[in-house]
Amino acid sequence: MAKQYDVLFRLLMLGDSGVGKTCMLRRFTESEFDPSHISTIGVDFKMKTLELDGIKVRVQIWDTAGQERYQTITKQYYRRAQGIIFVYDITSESSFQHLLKWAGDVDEFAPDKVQRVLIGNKSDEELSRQVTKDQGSKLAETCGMEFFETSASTSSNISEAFTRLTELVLQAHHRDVDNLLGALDDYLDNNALEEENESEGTDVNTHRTCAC
Amino acid sequence: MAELSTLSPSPPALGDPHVAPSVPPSSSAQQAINHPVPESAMEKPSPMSSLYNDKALTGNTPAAQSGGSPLTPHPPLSPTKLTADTPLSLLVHEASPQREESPGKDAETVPDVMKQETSDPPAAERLNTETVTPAPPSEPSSAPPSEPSSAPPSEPSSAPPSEPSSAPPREPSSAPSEGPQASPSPDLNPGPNLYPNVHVTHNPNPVMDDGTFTASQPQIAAASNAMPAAAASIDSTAAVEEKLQPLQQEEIPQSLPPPPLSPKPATPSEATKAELPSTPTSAEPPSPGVPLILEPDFPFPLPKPRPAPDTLSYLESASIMSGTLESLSGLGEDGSSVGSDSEVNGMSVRRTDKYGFLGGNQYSESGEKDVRVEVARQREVKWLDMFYHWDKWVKHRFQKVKLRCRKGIPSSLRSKAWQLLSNSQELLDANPGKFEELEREPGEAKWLDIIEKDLHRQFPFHEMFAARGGHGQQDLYRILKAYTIYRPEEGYCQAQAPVAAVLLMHMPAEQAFWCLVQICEKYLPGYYTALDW
Repeated sequence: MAKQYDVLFRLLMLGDSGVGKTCMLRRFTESEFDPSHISTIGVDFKMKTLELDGIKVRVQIWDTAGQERYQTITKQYYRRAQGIIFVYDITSESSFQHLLKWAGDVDEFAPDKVQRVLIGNKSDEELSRQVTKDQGSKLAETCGMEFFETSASTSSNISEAFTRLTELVLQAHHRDVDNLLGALDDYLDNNALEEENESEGTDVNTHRTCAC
Repeated sequence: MAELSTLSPSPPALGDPHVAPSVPPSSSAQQAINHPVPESAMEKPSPMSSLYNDKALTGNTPAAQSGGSPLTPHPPLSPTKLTADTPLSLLVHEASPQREESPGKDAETVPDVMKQETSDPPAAERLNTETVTPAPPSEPSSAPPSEPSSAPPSEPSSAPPSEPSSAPPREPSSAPSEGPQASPSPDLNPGPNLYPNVHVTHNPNPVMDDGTFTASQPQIAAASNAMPAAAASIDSTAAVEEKLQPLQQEEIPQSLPPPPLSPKPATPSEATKAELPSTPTSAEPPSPGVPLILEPDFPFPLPKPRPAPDTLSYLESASIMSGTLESLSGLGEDGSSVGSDSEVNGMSVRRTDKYGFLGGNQYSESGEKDVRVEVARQREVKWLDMFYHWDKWVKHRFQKVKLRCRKGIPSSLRSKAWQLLSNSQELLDANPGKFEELEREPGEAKWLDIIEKDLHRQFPFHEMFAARGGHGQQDLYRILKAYTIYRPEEGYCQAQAPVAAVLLMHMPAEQAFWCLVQICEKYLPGYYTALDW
């Protein structure tokens, strides 16, 4: 069976409750915007496959509950993430300020190699803006992140932001990906393998990537 | 003959005027007669709850309408409370006495009773042809013994005087939509101004609080009046309701001919009639919400001319008042709010399913297996019996209670059942006024912020919660906030909101609050609490 993707990355979305994490994710994975969704409780995830540089990248995006109470749970997911998306709401000063705390947690719990982007969401609500674009990009700069202002509502910049983070992750894991692809080639060349072994082989390969 | 008698033994017994005082009816009649006054007093709450239920449950299920009304409001500790408001109550009386004699026979006796009530028409016909003539009169004849003592006295006595002034206005209000409005909060919510009718329903509020019922009979009349209309508008097969109509209408005209009759044929009739036939049968967009929105049925007290009241869906009416809570929640101004409402309104399916969902994941297709009316009735009777002897059931036959829970608690009785099962009823009774007290507290900003962010994110496709600042969201705010004050060390957890919302779909805010308390503290102790690992 042909694999539908070459590599799998896990991305994690963090940010205060109500900043639009779930909406962004839905917009990105399903091209839908549903203002009436439910609050995320605990953790949820959606997947999407992108093709970057000829590599089929499946991103598994973990959507976390924003309420502080859930952080004991969501922190468990930091360790296995290769990319982190910090989200704040440009109409909420406090959600922006809390980023420092979020970023601190990530520094503490996430792998060193983790790639990060900063996103100011709800850019369509210019009238209620409380955080300037400048503030956002400065913070991003300070933390060494790329910065996007997005709108899940209008779909502005959503795909760009997710794709960019995926690229960053891909670059960061380039060597592993090369190894993986090499392994895949070997594997494809090897006709002698039984089907059972085939599936095992792919599993192993995936694991190798993930375990990086 | 022989066959018939075996098939439907009880009808003749009941039906025969002379023999009428057979065991079941007589006992019920006695009870009724013994406590005529309490009954009337007790009955008053029932309309309220029925109203609430209607709204909450969207009253789609026939059971909810007929059965729910008399029962839910107050613990039917004494059978007399339930008396002849609806056929169901009659059933109850009949059934319960029997049960006392021989609990084991429940299943057997009940069905018989059921036949009389639910499958009555066919039975009656058969009987007629068979010359067992007593059958047709059975209804009327059996009814009198118990009803005269309860229903008739109550209605005529108070109804006539108050009818003209209070009852008519209440009818519109008694409809599903306003109940919710009324219940939310006199204090929190200035909303009612939109519906002058609603002011009337505020009377019910106090009613719900306790046993004190100020606005009484008219409600019953109103409720009963509303019922037929509701039945008409609601698709449901509702043989039950059809039963209701004849019975109640008979009574009402006698006591108060002009008022009940006038409202219907009056002004609204045109509009309603036009709407009603179409809505129940099909889910067409034009008047999708209508079946649920009973308020428009009696729009005549309307202050301002609204666009054909019947075309106003529950949603629309709710969204109209969405402005009222703006200050409270601070949610309204942002564009997204408009988006959400318009989104919902734009949906092709505006009609709710039987649980009140307009769409979304929770929406259940109507094709879903519906429990047969007789079965539903039977279950209700069984549950009512359990209610009467709740302590005994829980103590001695808990497995049976459990089994029945798993078969499905009749939706009309779910509110009551949940309160008993969770023991929240006890808390409620033990803490009169506590909820109001909690509501008066300001609350902590850090909790209120999060709660407000979540108000519009709970079952956004449920008619009760679809409108920003609507009564559902208001109530949700009330009970979630109250909990943070009740347990300041726990505060608010986002996962409480959906639970609270479901509770609100079934019961008034205060009851829902205590249920939530029990869930948080008894069922899931520590589950919602912050953990520091």
